[in-house]
Amino acid sequence: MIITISREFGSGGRDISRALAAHYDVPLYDQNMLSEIGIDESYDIDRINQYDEAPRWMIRSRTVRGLTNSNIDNIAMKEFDFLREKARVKESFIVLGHCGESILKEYDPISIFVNASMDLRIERTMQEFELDEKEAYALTKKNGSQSQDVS
Amino acid sequence: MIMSAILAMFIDSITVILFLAAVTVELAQLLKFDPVPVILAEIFCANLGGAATMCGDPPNIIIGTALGYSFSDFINNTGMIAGISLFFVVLYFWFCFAKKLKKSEAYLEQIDSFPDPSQAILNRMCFIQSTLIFLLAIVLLVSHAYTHLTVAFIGVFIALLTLVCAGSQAKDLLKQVDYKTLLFFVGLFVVVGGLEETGVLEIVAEWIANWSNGNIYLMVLVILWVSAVASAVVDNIPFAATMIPIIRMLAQSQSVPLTTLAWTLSMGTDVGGSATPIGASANVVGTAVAMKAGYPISWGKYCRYCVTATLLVVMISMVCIFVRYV
Repeated sequence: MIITISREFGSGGRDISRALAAHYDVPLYDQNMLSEIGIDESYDIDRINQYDEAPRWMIRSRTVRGLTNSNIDNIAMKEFDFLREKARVKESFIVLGHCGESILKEYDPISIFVNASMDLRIERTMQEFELDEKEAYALTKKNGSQSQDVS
Repeated sequence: MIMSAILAMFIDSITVILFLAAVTVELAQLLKFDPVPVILAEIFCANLGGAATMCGDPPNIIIGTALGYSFSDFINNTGMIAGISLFFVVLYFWFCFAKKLKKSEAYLEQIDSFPDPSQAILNRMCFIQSTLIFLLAIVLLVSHAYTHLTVAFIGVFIALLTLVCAGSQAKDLLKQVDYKTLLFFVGLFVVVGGLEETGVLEIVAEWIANWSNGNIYLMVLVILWVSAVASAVVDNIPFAATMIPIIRMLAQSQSVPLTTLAWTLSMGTDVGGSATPIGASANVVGTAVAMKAGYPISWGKYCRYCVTATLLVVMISMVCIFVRYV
């Protein structure tokens, strides 16, 4: 069983994914994938997190013969390979974000998209980040296209 | 570093770094050391080595072919500057990374398990054929001033020879030819030709001439540093192609030796690309190979070491050009 969860920022996708993972007793792959994809142990994984599910800066990257200097792209490719391998060996898991529904399409996953009203998303953002309403609105709007969730 | 520079004199830097970076990563995993400093040094030295010969870097091929210079012309001029720069670059990277790369104790433990290099050769006949063709290419390139064969003819001849020797695999080889790059070059020369015909390049040449007031020191300064900075952010191939008509016009209008401006342009475009992760193809390939192996190299880490090295080499080039040619 493979469940892919995509979500709008602030809609509670991460909470739902954790609850599902606990209910079905399967691994949940989110940012924790970074420690699984072979990044050398000398690197601070928390610092590498900045590359996870981040938009690529076109001006700062180039591709030559299929190889790119973009750490964002390279980490994404490693994560995709990791997920495909897990699916290939028929492991059950839940993946939050990371284009799971696209790259695992051939394995016919259960795909869930979590969304919520703007009011609820702002309210959750205010609680999680301890922001006032105006700041929470700005943060929610800024992250809207990236579909990141609050922790 | 020295192997990287020497290989890049004859083989394109992308291939050199693809090979060396992969080897470095394997060694790093075997001997438990951080490969990033070594890869950064290899990338820089590959770009520097490519500046030493006519076939080492595409801008040199374009400059040499357009202005009629030979392989030995480059060796005697940019080769000398690159050689002096390589000495200082090796010292620089040694001081930067010596403490990070202490001899690993794992070396002594693993030495018996090191693979035998001859085991990597899967087909002895193909290996011998490829080596002979490669050596023939080098001989033809080094001697092309005497044989009057153009670099383009040598390239095509070697390619055809390789296809003949490949036999039934020739079709697969042809499929792997980078046709997009060939079309890119065709388009590039059409665009540069258009800029030249419409007088845009003449305007740039006049601006340089007016700003420098005919002073060759200032002309060298402008061409060298602008080439270096531009190559750090844009592809050095179109930049070099665009600058060739400009330096030709400058040489004619200001009675400045064309060779001086040519070597200046060559060093600026070849070396400037080393400053940033996107400045040269070898940089992109090296950082990508490192990342794929689990060693991400950020812009900050790359530029911290390579911008200084680039400035060092550009300054050495400037001094060499002033002393020898002006």
